[in-house]
Amino acid sequence: MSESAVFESACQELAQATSFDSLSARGTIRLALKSSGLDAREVTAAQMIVVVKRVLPGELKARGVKEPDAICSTIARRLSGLAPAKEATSSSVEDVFRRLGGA
Amino acid sequence: MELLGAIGGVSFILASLVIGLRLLLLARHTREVPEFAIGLALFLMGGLGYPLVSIARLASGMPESMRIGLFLVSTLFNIVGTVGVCVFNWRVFHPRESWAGWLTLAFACALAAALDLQSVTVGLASAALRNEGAGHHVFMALDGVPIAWAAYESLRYHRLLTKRAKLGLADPVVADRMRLWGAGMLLAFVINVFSSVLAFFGVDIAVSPAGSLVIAPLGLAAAGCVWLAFLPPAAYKLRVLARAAPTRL
Repeated sequence: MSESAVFESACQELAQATSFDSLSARGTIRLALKSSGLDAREVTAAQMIVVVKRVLPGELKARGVKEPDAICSTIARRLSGLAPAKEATSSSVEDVFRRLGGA
Repeated sequence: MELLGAIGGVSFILASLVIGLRLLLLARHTREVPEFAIGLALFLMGGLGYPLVSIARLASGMPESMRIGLFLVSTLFNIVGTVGVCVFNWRVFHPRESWAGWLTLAFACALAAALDLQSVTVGLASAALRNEGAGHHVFMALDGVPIAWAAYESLRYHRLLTKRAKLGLADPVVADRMRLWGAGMLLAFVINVFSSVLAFFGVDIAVSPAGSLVIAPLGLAAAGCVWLAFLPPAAYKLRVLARAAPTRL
């Protein structure tokens, strides 16, 4: 299974906004996703935007990137254009367990 | 000690019957496989199969043919139940991965092979009346496979959801439900391992007081976990939400 389109877009945006090469950008986004409990193959645009806004700044700061908050806001804004197109099915496990509890 | 065993056993049976029936009714409404598979598993395995095998083993005054009959019905329920747990694991956690379907099929075949081994060696009556026979012991040990699988998947997913919940990307109540289900399955697996190991050494846990001492609290805890997972009181849900609120990033 390959990575989601949202993941690819976020990596491209990060590489463009920083001096990261493609590999570093992918690794950084992957780490941010992992610490958020998300998977690069199934992450949705809405989830990625939250990760970019709230987790990625810390990852960039740790790598010595200047103005991480501004960079992440820009990336999040660009990703928000993708939001409705590809909402993946990653929430299906959650949906099942929500149903099982009668909620 | 016997009272403790009875409390543990009865609470486990009651929780399985009530929750199993509730999930089956939910499946009737939603027409979805996961609630049907796990509802059937709880209802047949914990709610009916477990008490039936206990009666078959303990009711020495009952005609042997009837005890063997009860054991066979219980075994059938057990097969349907454990395969149901496999189907649940497959359809919920790996719906697009073929290995999970093959594992479910292989598991069903292994159960059938274990039963076959029992019937061509010492016979099903030995299993029904005396908890004896290599095939029966393998069958018991195999029962732990889908339960361990369920515990692993649920607890793994619980970890992911806990991280997501801190970002507001998951419902803390659902994350907690997954933890409780995983914990309940883990406890059931411990019971299964304990029973299987003792059975290999010729100790029948159903009639052993020492066995009751270990099984009863574990059964009670497993029943509590399943109950809180699928039929949580409103106060419990509020507590989970209150506990999750300050940890959000």
